[in-house]
Amino acid sequence: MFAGEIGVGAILCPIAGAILAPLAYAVRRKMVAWFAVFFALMTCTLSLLLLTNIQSGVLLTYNWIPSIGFSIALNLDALGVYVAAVAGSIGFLVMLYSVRYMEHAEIEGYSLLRYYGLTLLFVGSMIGLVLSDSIILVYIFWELVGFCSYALISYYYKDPKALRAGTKAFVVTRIGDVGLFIAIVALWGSTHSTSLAAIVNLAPADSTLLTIAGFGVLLAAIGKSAQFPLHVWLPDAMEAPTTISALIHAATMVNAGVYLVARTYPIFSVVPSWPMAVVIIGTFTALFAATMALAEPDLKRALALSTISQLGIMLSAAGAGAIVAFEFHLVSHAIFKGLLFLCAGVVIRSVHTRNMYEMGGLANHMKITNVTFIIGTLALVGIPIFNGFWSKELVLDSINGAGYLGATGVLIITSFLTAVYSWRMYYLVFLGKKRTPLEVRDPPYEMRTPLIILSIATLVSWIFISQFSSGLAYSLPSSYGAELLTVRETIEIVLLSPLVVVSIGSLCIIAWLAFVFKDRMMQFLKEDRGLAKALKHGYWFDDLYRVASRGLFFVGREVSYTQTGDVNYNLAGIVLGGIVILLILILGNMGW
Amino acid sequence: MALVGSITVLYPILILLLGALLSYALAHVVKRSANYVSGTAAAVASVCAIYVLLSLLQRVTNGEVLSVSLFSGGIQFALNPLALFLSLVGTSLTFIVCIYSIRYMEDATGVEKFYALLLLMAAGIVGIGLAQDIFDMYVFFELMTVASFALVAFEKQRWEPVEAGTKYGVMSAVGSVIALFGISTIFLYAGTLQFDRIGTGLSAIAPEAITTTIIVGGGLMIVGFGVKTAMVPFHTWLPDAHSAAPSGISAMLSGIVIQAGLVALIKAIQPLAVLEVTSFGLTLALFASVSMFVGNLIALKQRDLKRMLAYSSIAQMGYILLGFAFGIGIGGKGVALGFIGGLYLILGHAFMKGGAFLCAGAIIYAIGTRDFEEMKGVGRLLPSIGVPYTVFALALSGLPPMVGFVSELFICTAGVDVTGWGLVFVVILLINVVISVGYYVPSINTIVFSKEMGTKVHDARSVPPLMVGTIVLMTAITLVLGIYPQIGMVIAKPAADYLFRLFS
Repeated sequence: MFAGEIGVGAILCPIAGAILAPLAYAVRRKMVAWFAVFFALMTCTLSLLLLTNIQSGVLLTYNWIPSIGFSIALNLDALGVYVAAVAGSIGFLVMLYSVRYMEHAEIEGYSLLRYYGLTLLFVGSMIGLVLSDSIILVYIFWELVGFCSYALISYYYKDPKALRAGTKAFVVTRIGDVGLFIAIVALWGSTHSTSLAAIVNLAPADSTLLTIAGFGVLLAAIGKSAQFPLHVWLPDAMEAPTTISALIHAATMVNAGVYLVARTYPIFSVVPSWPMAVVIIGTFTALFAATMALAEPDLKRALALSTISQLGIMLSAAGAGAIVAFEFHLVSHAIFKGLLFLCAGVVIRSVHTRNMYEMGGLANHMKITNVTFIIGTLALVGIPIFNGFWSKELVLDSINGAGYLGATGVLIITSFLTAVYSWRMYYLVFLGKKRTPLEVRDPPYEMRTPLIILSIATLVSWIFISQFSSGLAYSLPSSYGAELLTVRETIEIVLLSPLVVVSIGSLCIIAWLAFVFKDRMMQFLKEDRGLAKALKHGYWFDDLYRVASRGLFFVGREVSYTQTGDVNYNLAGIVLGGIVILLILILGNMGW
Repeated sequence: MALVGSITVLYPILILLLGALLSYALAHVVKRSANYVSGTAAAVASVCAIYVLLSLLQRVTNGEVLSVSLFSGGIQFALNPLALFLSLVGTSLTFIVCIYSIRYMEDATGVEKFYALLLLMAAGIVGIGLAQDIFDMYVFFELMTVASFALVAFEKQRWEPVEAGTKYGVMSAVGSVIALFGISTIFLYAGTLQFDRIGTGLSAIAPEAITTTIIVGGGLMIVGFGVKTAMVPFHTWLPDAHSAAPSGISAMLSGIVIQAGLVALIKAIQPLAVLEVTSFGLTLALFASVSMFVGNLIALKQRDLKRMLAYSSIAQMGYILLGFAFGIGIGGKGVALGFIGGLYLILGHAFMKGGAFLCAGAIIYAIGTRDFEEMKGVGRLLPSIGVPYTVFALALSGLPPMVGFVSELFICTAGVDVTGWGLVFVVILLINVVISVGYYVPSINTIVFSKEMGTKVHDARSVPPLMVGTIVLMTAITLVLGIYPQIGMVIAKPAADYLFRLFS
């Protein structure tokens, strides 16, 4: 059973690195960076090795709490292993990039140990999350990645914005985590099992507990994957170092939510309103976030909103049961969005601002970054031959095929908006007049290499669709509906589908219109009134939540006035409580 | 004094009482470094008690009945799994607090009285578990309580501990008297106070009288013991007492004393609950929910670290109480998992909250303040406080893989299995967990991730190894109990099964 050991290794290797990192740090502070890169490389190797060890069925069951019957196990099917491979490989690339990107951290008074330790812990927890069969173990790793996210968003803690953003991320995702917790206990109540694979095979019939569990998982996904209405934490999370934004908030952690929906799809698809609810939320969020990205002046926040939008597309695919399309878009998006964030990191590091209106004209000064950013953008927009094109069109085709025509229409409109905001980002940063006085140039090799590797992956990852889909078809139970899809079939579906023709055609028209009216559009989006203002303020959802949390603190203060400090009142409280208890007991007796 | 049975049952209490005497006397004999002499003597006594209990663990878990009776059955003690659980947690915490307080209390006068009182309090806790009738339990309950009055008010030269101690004393006395009313009601009608005989005693009287006796007696005892358990609205003494007491005592109070009050409550109402006249479980669940909300909501606005932790204890007692309510049953049969959850949280909370209070004490030792504004960044300057405090606060907020999460998992899983409205209470608990994140995480941000250093932090003195060592030990236990719960199950599961059998 060698495969199980590789899986455990992929989880424990980075965690061991995190625990041992203080030793490297104590020897020489800067050494911790290469120490972390080494462990990340080992993890990457192990997670890529897992690709050859995909199998169905549950491995390495461990009876964790025999007194109650909670056991944990590993599941090495393709659904999880692909995400683990993404986490491991992008984790390594980000770690390599970080060596140069974070080199000034110590001088500014931030500990590199904290950065690399938490990042390693994160990678291990993420891989553990997707390789776990037991839903309790999923929850444990789910919370751990959430903690790492909070700690890394707050990394530059001397900036109060960062601390606030980290706390906000933690609290908002915790709200979603309540959903996962309820799902665990509800599933236990209805099936007395914590093993996801076993529950899928059991195929329980629809019941109240199952419905509660299903919507609990949906709530968890809304929190973790920043879907409406819990989307507010992700744009603020951009206070994190850009490497963390690339790794956690684009390529891996935010995918955990939609991944869980996909994994539990066979379980909850029998609940009448669940698939529809998932598709509606995903589709709405996709459109909603895309509109906000149009007016966002901050480069990273715009990419964050774009991520929220793309996650909405993935969520819709999962809700429609299109598992192959879902997973394919997840992997494609991780690659090109990770690429875009790392490019953004290069830009921001050079111009010392995140405001796109202060950038511009960088194309000639950083040629490699320019090209790689274009590649990422074209993938995001969904231009043919880039991986984003194939995966997005597959998603659209699957959702349409599952009968969600309205959703398909909305997603097509979203793809228009995606084209517009992506092009706007590129234009503002790389074209036009150079608005910054600072000198900019291409980055050193430690930062260039990940960009180049990811660009190549963006160009060619789709070619492996046949192996990709066969892995899913072979290792997942049939209830997932995963089927083999060859390259030829993909090309046929995508290029011959009338839907695709319509969407590409309309895309070209929209692009041409946007180009023609670009000046007026740019001016409109820059304004601070009307629709543009609503977009820039995120439709004031942030303010809504701020008011709500102030309200909670207000309630706390009001309740605290019962603590008068006067013993007479306190004793009166005892008497009052005593009367209430006697009343409840008497009523209980009458109703017995 | 005819003694029937194995006297080994009494050893832990006798050791602790002897230890109290010795640690007081030795300090007067040696006359130098009273804190080291007394503290070490007290620590040694606790270790001996722990050793005796551990040596009996296997036999008790296997179901062997270890009991002793004095005065021809007038007073009976039995070391059942629940008593073993309570005693082990209590003595372990006592041991850690003794070591910690050696340096923490080094500037106090009369420190030998501190350790004597501490051991007396521990003896009271052990006695609550061992007692086999309500009145004896009440006696040890009072021993624990009176010792804790003096300990809360120990720094008698400051007004705050004295006020807190006085309020605590008054409220506790009122509670004790009310409990005594309840006990006498039961005695009047049942003719006996022994836990295993009350049921038969009550069945012999007229049916109408049974209902009244149970409701009145049970209700009064819930109120009386509920004051000590810090159930809302009987909790108002707790924020002052736990804040003003020396930090080792705060750890004991939040960690085991209020939980001992809960065990006393559960033991007292058990003979009444099995007669199935009314739903004690539902009553406890309702009050648990109120406690959770009040504790968490008021904690949000606190600007004093120890006061925040005190309100958090009120909320955590709500979670524990809910677990016990699930075990007893809400309008139907209970589930053993509820007792497991409640007991496991008692175990875990002793170390999580105890550890947090010890960290607060270390901060007081280093910079002399409990105020959040003044302690900004102290965790960064002193990572030996910062890292453990982060672990404790995250554990208390229910983050895996620490013990808080595991306990809440057990309690909520029990809530789904329990007949009736269990799921509603589970949702209430989870909402409260999210609310609690709203004060735990900002406290971590203030202590560790603060840009500015508080005004007093620059002159911080370093924390002694004895204090750091105990804090690190608590951190390790918090992590181990969460990652490998089977270790805690060794004492929690037999106690839970024992309770479940009693309540069925």
